Amino acid sequence: VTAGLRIDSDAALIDRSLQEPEVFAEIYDRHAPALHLYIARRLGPDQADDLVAEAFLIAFRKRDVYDGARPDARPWLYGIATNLIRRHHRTELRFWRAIARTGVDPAVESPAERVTERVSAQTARRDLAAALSRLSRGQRDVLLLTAAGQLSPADIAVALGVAGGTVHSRLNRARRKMREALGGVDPLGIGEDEEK
Amino acid sequence: VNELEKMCSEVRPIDPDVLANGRRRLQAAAIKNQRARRPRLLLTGAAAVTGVAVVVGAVAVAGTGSGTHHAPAKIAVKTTAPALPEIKLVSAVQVLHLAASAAGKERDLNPRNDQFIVIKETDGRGGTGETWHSEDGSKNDISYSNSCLPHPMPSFPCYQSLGKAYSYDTPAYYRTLPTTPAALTAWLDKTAPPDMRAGQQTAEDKAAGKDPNQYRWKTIEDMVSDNYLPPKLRAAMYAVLSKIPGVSLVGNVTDPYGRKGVAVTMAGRGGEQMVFDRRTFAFLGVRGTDPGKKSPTWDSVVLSITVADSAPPSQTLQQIMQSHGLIPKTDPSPLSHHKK
Repeated sequence: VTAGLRIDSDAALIDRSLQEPEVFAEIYDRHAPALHLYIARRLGPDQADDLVAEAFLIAFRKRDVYDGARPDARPWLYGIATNLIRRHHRTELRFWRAIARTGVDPAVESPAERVTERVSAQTARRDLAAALSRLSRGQRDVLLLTAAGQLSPADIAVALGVAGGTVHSRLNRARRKMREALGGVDPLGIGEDEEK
Repeated sequence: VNELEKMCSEVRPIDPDVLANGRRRLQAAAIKNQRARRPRLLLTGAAAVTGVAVVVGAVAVAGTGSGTHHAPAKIAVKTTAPALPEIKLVSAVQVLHLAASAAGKERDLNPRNDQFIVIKETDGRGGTGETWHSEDGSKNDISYSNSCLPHPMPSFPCYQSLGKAYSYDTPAYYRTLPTTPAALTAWLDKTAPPDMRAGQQTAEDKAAGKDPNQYRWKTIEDMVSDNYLPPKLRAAMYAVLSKIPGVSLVGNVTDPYGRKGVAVTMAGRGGEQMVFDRRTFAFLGVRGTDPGKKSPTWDSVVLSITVADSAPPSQTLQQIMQSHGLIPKTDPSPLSHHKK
């Protein structure tokens, strides 16, 4: 079609960025919005604004140890973001508990909308937030990397640096715990591990 | 949709200013890093591990050598490598940035003044067309269509002369437009109708709902759909669009040729969408929703844009109609309205 177009893999861009550092901005263009969504889901938009930039600066500094056999950089980037989120463990718990308490979800509503408390009546979201706040760190990581990050179990294993089996068992436990808390509703839909 | 999915999908996208800010910080770090170059370790290490990495690496090498001779995109993309994972698209700003970045890297076709730009397109309803645009407007533009004459006249394919293009509508003219987002915005505003010029609007204009951003979006959309614009200009255009408040992601769509695309729009465009290729972020076409209809239909889909040394022989509309016996041969020429 139009001449000269090509799409490099993330790995190829990261490799090139060793010689031409500014190329790394393309990794940012590709993945920053989605990574922001993941962080905003767990810590709220204000924290996400700072952390997404920080995550990419860390990634940039560590790019020389990127595993070039992995064309898709998302597991690596989500791993870095998840580590950053863990440093804000208390903030995250407070965030989920506040949603559970008020029904107001700052990740979704703009400050102006908050006044109307449009979503306050949404009990489902309050229950969900309460249930998320009761998961262990590892379980929450796996569940939210699945739901908000849309990573596969295999990608999550890479992101967290754990074995594939660990991801599956954490995911199953998280779902069982959530199901109980939500009165039998599976947080990821019906059926067991639908992916892989 | 379950509540957890919903809770995740409803998250507000990153603010464009915040996004731009983060990028600047990263670029500042990159510039600082520029001198401290490190040896290339990754590719060889990766290649030793899996066959997949070898192919990916080969693509990268073909790409980096694009300074003097161009590696055709088709070869570079159509390797036996597994399809790269699709980037997760969460906002129109992201899509437009990716489109700008892709356009910024595209090789300019750089036609000579005596050549033609050939645009192949379809209206998505079975009509296909090809247009030869004389680069500098010194020759007649030619259009091929599989049904030349307007309904209800009989339908047959033909090459029709469109006459010479106006000087402000030749491919060469579009090469003179500014290619930075700021200068392009200034140009758009300068050439806009007075009541749509940013910064010059009266209270009445604003009250009447005249919106400079609507004008910018529409103008860019039209220019991109109808012309070959130099890659740098397109990059600037998409950057301008990405800054418009109210741009939004519509989602994945498939064009009439089965190409996977992603559609974006802005508030107030009445369901009109610009569609970009889901993987290359090249512009694919425009979709619109007719009044009273629910689902959008394609207005135009660009199939390819190439350069040709010459255009095929053609007839004027009058000659075509004469040759098919639709009008008498002796008729004076009321239809040859193209001059210059």
